[in-house]
Amino acid sequence: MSPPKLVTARIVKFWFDIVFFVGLTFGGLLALWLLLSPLTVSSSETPSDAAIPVAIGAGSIRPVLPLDAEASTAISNLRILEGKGELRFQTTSWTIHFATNLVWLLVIAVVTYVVYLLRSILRTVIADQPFAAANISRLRIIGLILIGTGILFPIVQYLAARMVLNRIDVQGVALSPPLEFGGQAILGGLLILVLATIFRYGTQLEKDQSLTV
Amino acid sequence: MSIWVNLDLMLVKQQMQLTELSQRVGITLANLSILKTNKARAIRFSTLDALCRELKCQPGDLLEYRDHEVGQDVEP
Repeated sequence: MSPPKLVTARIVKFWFDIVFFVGLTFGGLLALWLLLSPLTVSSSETPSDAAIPVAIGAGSIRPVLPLDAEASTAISNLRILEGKGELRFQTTSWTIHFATNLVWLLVIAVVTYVVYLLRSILRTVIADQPFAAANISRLRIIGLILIGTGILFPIVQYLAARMVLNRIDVQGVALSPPLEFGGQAILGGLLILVLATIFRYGTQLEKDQSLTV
Repeated sequence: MSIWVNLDLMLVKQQMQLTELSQRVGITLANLSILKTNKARAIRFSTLDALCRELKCQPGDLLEYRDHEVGQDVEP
């Protein structure tokens, strides 16, 4: 009978297998649609929905919207800070469609690859060789991907939003492209990089142990 | 590694096969091969004790320090 930790690893790997293959199928179809939809929009000249993240007010990192409101003498200098939301619109421009779809294409690619790496790690756990040298690089890649997504995705979103906002002039309210780095993803990535370093030490110990007669 | 295990030499002296030694000392053939090919990183006192007992030798007969020579593989 398998030890409990292996049973857990098998169950987790089973779910990762489902997520991976379902994700690969639907993610592939979605990616295809995201890639092709801008072309169909431009050829049919029929506007279709698109969305970008926006910040209300001026400034991308910490947007501020001063309010011109009447208040009592005790209250003054009213402003909305970091008001963020989504701007939905219809467009026939394929570049706008492609720019807004680009983030989702990146998300699909990254999630699929990370799940693939996690499956590979779990496979070594089930084979009772968790301290395989390949797992160090797998963990390091996952860590770097998380840090990369925490930095890259907000920049791509910012550029897409900026491209759209440069083409429109909204009256009455200032809209800015928001730039908010993924602090949680970066922190998670750093933790995994630390884990990879500890794993390297574990691999060394494992090798010493296996070569001790 | 500069420490060499002269298991081959001691086996020849005792006219013993590696398989027979493996059975006598209770160490797997794979582990004895690691020792014989100088791939081992460490050796337990219990292993050394059993080997010296069966090969009728001293630890110094089994282990030898060799200085690195040019072109010699440092990490086997």
